[in-house]
Amino acid sequence: MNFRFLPWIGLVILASAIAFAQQAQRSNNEFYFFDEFKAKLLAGGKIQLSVVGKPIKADLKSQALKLEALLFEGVMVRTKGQSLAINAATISGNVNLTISRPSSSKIAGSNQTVEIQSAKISYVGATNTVASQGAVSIERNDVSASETMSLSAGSGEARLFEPGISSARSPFSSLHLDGGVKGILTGVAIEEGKPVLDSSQKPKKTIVNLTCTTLRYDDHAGKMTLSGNVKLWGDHPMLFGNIDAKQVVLIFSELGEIDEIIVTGEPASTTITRKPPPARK
Amino acid sequence: MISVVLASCAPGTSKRLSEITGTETKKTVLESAQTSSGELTSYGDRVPRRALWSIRWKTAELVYSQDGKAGGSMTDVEGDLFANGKKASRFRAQRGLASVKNRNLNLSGGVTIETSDPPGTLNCESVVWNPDTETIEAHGKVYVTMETIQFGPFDKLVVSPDLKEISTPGLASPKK
Repeated sequence: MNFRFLPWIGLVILASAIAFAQQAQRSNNEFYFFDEFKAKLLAGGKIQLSVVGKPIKADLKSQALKLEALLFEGVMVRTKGQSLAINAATISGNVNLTISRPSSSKIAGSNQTVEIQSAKISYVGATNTVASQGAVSIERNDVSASETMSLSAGSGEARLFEPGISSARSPFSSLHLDGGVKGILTGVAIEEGKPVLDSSQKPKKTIVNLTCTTLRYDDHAGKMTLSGNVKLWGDHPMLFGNIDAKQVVLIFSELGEIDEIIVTGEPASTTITRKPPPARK
Repeated sequence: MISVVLASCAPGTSKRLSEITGTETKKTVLESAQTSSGELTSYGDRVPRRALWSIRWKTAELVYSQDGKAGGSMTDVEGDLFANGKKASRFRAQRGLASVKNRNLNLSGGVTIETSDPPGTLNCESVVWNPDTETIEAHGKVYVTMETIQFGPFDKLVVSPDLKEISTPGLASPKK
């Protein structure tokens, strides 16, 4: 009898987090509250994973991502010392994905959340991209920056910054929405770099409502392009009435304020800049 | 087919039981043997003949029949599990029960199965080797700890001999 336990077994047990448990979440459970799962270990530390849930819950700290869904199918990876992360996955059944990023206010320790709901999504970990071929809703809530964004569309793709990174404008590096886009953007009115105060001396809230056929947001360019039967209305220093056009481009400042609105189409092409013309003062 | 190697079989410990099982028309004569150590290896039906599992023990009560089938209960056991005829993992347990008829291997009491490629270990209260699927059914406080991921605790998991495929019973692979 020469059976011996190798010393690395003890090390492995100490080094590994408990990743799966069917019962209540423990502090280091990454997947929990599921009915069934199947895992296959692949080369390179990857794990092919199917999980069926009621719903499944997962908390993937390295991707600052929490999810609820009925079915998860994908490939996971765990880098040394990190929590389990999605390499690529298809997630379906009442999907609710909550992603956390630093607040765009840049106040240390404060975060904003992005909640994505859809019947089915795909997620690519390398690019932090969430895509939905069907109806999707996206809710951004940044308390520290006093900003929210609520969007819905027939389909869409959101690419987020790396975990731990946001721009001063947004947690999204890009956003593509198609088909029956509806949105509400709220924030605080800023003029000449200072918050505009209302009658009770509190920062004046702004609201921009929008509908269009397609929405493209490029954070690097600081530009949101709304196309196809665009309607824009609300209460914002840059909005001098309702806009109804073929295309509207919103140009954002470095700090995320709407600096310029370029309107193309009927009745005429118009550009609205942050400083209104003297006649409108 | 199951081959039995009896090492250190003390003289006089083997006795003829003349047990009769089944009907009068189908008699099987069994013998039992108490042995202090030994090894039993089970092979699959398919050609080429492949090992499924082998078990070694410190003490055992073996029962084997004239048709070559053998088995019994063993204590303080260890052994190997095979996948595609190659050693896939090693196990140890307090007790083992080898089923002659269906090639089942039952292990109980502090069962540990470990692999080296990739490094991993399974701990549970009992294990049943399923000859139909050539998988392990692990029962009772089941934990599987691999380099990159840990599963558990579960009441029951179905695991491949090399611990590379792990599932709950509802998503386990169908029969081979």
